[in-house]
Amino acid sequence: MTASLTGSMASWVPLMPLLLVAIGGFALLVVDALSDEHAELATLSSVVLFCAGALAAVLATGKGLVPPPSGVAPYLAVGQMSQFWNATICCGAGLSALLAGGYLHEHALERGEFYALIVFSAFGAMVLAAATDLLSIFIGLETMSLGVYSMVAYRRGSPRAAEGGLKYFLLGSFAAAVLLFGSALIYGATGHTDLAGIGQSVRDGHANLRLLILGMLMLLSGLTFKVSAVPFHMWTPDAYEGAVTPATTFMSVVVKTAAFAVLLRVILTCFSDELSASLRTGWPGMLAPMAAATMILGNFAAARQANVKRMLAYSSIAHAGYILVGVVTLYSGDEQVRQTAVSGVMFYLLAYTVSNVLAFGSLIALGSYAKEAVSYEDLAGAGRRHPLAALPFVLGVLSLMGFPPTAGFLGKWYVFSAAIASGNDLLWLVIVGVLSSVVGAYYYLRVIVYLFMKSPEPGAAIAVPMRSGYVVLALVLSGYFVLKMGVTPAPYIDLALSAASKLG
Amino acid sequence: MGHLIANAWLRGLVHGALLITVLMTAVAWISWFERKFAARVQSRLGPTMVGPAGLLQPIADAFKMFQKEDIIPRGADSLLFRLAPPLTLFLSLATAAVLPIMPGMLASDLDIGVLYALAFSGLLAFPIWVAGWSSANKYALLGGMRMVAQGISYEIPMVLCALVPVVVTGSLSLSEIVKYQAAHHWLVFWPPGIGVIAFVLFFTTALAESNRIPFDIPEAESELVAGPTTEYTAIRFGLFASAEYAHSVVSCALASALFLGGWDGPVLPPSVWMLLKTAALFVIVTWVRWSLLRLRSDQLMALCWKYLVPVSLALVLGAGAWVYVVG
Amino acid sequence: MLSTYLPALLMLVVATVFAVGIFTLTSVLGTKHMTPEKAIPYESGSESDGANQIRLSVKFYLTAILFVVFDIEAVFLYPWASIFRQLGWFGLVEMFAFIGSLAITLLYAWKKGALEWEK
Repeated sequence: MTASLTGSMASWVPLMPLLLVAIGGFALLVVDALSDEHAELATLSSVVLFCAGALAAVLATGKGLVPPPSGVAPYLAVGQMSQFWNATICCGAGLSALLAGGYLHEHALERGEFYALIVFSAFGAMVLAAATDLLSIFIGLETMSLGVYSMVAYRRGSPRAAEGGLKYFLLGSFAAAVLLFGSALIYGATGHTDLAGIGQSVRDGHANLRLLILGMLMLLSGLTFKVSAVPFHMWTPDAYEGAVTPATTFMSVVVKTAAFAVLLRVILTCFSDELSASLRTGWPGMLAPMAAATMILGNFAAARQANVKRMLAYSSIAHAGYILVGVVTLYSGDEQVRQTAVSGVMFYLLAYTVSNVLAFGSLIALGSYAKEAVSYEDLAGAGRRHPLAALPFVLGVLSLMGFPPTAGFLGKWYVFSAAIASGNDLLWLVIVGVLSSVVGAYYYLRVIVYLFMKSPEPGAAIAVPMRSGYVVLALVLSGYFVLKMGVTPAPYIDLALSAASKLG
Repeated sequence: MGHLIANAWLRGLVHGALLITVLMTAVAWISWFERKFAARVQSRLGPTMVGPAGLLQPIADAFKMFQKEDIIPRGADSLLFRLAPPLTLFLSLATAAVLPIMPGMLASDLDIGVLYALAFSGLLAFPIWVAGWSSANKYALLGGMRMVAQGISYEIPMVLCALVPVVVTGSLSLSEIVKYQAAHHWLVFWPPGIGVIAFVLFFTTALAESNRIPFDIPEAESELVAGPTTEYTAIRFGLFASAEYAHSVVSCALASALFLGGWDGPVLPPSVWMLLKTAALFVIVTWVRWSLLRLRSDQLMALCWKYLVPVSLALVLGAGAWVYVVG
Repeated sequence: MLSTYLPALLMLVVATVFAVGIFTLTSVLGTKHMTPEKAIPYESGSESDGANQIRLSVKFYLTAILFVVFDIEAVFLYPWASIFRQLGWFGLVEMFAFIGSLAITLLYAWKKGALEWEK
């Protein structure tokens, strides 16, 4: 065991993104404990996360990716796919940290622990996305979630933050318990905790079916809670609204990415056999209606919101629905289709990460002097007064809407075309998706209408855009990627495809 | 395993009866000893009237306890109020089950003896808290909370210091640890320096765990009447007092088994060595009690978290490094 | 396996019997002259004032949280301590990393004032 654990130095390289983030988190704690300057924490945390993300992006291409020390292998996968997730997670978390750098300062909420929470949660998310064992799934999930719960309740004086945080914490703990119970049942049914072993046992038909199905349902329920799919979405609007906006951004991009990553891995490794992947008897029978309900409810509820933050919360539910369509497509027996679907989901999540950061970042940028922009009214006319500050918002909502040539358009395109390629069984789901995104166009365009075509109510306070280098940097970075991924998607989708071809 | 009594059922019953008898008798005369000792420290005579040199005083005390009225105060949680005193005694005695008195003589030679002893001794804070909470008395509740805060805080350095012998011997069984010491070195001397610090810290935290002065803030009589036991009368109160003594004695025995070689020693029979070492440690406990002042709450917590915890963490690592380097 | 635990369990039974015996004895021997005054919570002789279940300082809860963190650590240290000879230097390094990370946690809690009983 000793020799295999130590191995050569090169074998530690695939783990470096994870280790970098963990060490960075501890460094943040030490710096926070020993100094009073908070600004450096935003820089430090985003630098750590971007470095880890860049390293992961390089590793995702397969360069320098040697097998890791064998002691790691049963619990974490550090192949191309994990590195892709690492890159996406680090990108989302790093951008959130940048947003926090501006937002917390502006709203006089600067306390150092926020950055440490972001970094440690991102670490948990990376572990979750790379987990190949029921145990590491749970540990990753909890590490990620505990940080996020605290981030939601971060604004101590606000009852709304306390409500959102407590709701999320209670429901989240319940979901974690369901997931854990499901894991226990699966272990009971198959005698394995590692996903590969479970998959083997399921394929061989050795598993106790009744326990297995119940366990699978519970495990998937616990995971779909984290992606806020209907009917497990109830916490989302309150938690998103109560949280400070950088935390909302983090939740909507990082938590979602990690949860979808592990959902994909669990489904692909454990439940890809004929019986459990059948549309009638297996998990697609559960996930397909969920996807439809999530898309419909998310879009219609978002259309009814007067609060932009809540609208974006429901919109994130809707997006979970679109991504679930891609997950359901994995029912197909055709390897080609499955790879397209997986790469579609990967691309979608990356695109969603940058677009959502853009939307939330603009929302942060447009509210200033301790007043957050929350309602459509707050945005009225801001585009005419400050066109440059409103531009990223336009780009963000267009991408979330799925308007070409943005990243969001291609994300939807890849996911839906994979679903169509899988046969006629999912056609209805795609039709639901396309129709409900038409509803989405209504509320996304409403933002633009308010920005450019409305005037503020007489006497209403008029916000001045926030002057923060951090927020500007985050907006520029995410705006660049939204356009780049929309105009020249080839490198990204190729990367996703090559990562999807090997499940590692 | 070379037990003197092979049959497990018989061994359990005999040891149970024996330990309880020995311990309760010991506790009775320890209370006499402590009163005499205190009297000497304060230039008094102490008990003199009942029996020669007051030696029968504990018996008289016990009879008095039995005759007193048993009061359950208004608003008390009657079930928990009744449950707390026997539970305290129960846990103190349970810890004793794994103590090796001499080779082949211990009730249960558990593979995880150290863990078992520490777990039961750590649990002891909870029945005392239950006593404080169920009394429906402010002093008692405050005392109970202090007890829990102190008990759980000091449990951490205690558990960490007890790890040092485990790291050095590689065994969690108390009898194995004692055998190792008989064969090699007493762990108070080994690893040099680390062992003695670990022993002193373990002994200090054991004082705190059994709320002896200077760590008796939970029942600080000048502010909290009698802390968690304020509302207790008659034999229920007596049980708390004896449990506290029993716990001190058992902690001393544990410390001698872990660090002072247990029954190991020349000339005299092993069980006598064990008793002598325990008694010597108990004398120190009493001596400390009548010489030192009580710590304040904040000093108590600061001592634990700021000094004992980091030092004991370092001790564990130091012991690990020592074993790796020296073997 | 069970037989090693049996004596310990039996000892617990004996201890219970002993406690029950004591209580029976005291209920036989003890005086019984209950009056309402005796049942009043003792507050140094004055009338009991206010609710008995007082609100307690948040410090107690903070201590409890710290305890959970470090007790879990101890739980991990025990199995490590008994087998770390087999793990070799990697086990030692790993434990240094583990304890080091907890030391940072303690430092953080310390600097943030979580260890100050009175502020």
